[in-house]
Amino acid sequence: MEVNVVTLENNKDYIIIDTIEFNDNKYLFLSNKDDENDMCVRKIITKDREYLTKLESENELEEVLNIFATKYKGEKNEE
Amino acid sequence: MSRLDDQITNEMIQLVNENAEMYRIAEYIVSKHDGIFIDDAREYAKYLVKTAGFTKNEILSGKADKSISNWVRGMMLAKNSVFQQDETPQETPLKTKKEKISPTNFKKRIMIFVAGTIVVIYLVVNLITGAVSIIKESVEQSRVETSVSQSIGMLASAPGNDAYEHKMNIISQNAYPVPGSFNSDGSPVIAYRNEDIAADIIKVCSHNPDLFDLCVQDAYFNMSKNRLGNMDDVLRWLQIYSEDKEDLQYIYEQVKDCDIFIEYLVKEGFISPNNEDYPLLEAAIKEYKTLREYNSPFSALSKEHQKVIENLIDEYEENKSISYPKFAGILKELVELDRKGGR
Repeated sequence: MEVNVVTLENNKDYIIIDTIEFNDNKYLFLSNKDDENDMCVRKIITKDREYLTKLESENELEEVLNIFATKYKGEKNEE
Repeated sequence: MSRLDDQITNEMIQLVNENAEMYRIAEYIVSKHDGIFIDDAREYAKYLVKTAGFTKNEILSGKADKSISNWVRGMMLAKNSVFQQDETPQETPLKTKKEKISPTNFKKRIMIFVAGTIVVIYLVVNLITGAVSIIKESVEQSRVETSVSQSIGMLASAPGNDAYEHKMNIISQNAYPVPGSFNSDGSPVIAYRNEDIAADIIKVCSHNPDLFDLCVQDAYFNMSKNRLGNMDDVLRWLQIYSEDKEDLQYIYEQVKDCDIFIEYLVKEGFISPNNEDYPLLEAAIKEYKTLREYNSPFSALSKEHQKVIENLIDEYEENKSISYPKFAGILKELVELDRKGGR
């Protein structure tokens, strides 16, 4: 299957495994192409163009991770 | 010294010993995982010992490695996603490119991310008693199954979830006591019959199909723990006869041949073939002789057999069904191959 890959500030490529919208922001869930155990979340901000940035607080991270966890739990329950 | 002085001194000694123990465990964690701070590792060490119920020796012998890996994933997820205190905010232009990966690999990455997410939510950011009680329950039942039940139980999200409860019942029914092995409370150490793991996976996944590939991975990890359990059994017998002589264990490592090693023990007078325990020692060593230790059971399979598993998962993804006889047959074949030591 085809996936979208982005390069982060550490010059490593990350696969976008999911995108979630929360509080008028978009968050990308990223998995290092060369190391499945290396993963992170980035927020998209728009200025002259779109940029990726880290999240500002652990609270913000917890909020979006809760949505992510609920999304996959919800899919299991529907089956 | 007064009795109070004695008590204070004893408590201080206990505290020092406990701190030293946690520090030793934290050092172990940090030595295996880059990017983890010793203070965070020490906190997790406390969790492993006081909540999850691992002993220091179990942790240092690798029995909690899977739990630790999941925790590290969660820690790194949090650390890599949020601006740290001394960090300069950076904005990276968003530019995507297309690449291809297998659906299996994509699904695996999602499952790994989910596991990391749950760790962050329940253990790192906000310790929730629900997840903790799942882990406590699994430890009470058997330490050998902790990694399996932690992964599956956490994904099932809460106690009382059908898949988790069902899985716990299945594991209990298919367990057997490791000969001569006992926990500190006197209860027997429990291991699993490898040939029943396939049936376990089918039963769990028929309730919760999304757990399928995680179950396959954990099944092989569980088999690896069986091997470690048997190795522990052998070492326990060695300790009985060698009175904790480390050189005997060293010799065993050097010889790596169980028959020669038994001969050595008999020749040097450590054990007598007439001793009533001798057949048990012989059986334990021979059992271990047929098994091998792997850090990662799935990657320890030949590429050909890994492909078999991946193809099966792909087939499941396409058809959302599991052909029970076919899957059980393949797993049994792979277990047999592992038992014979072939690839």
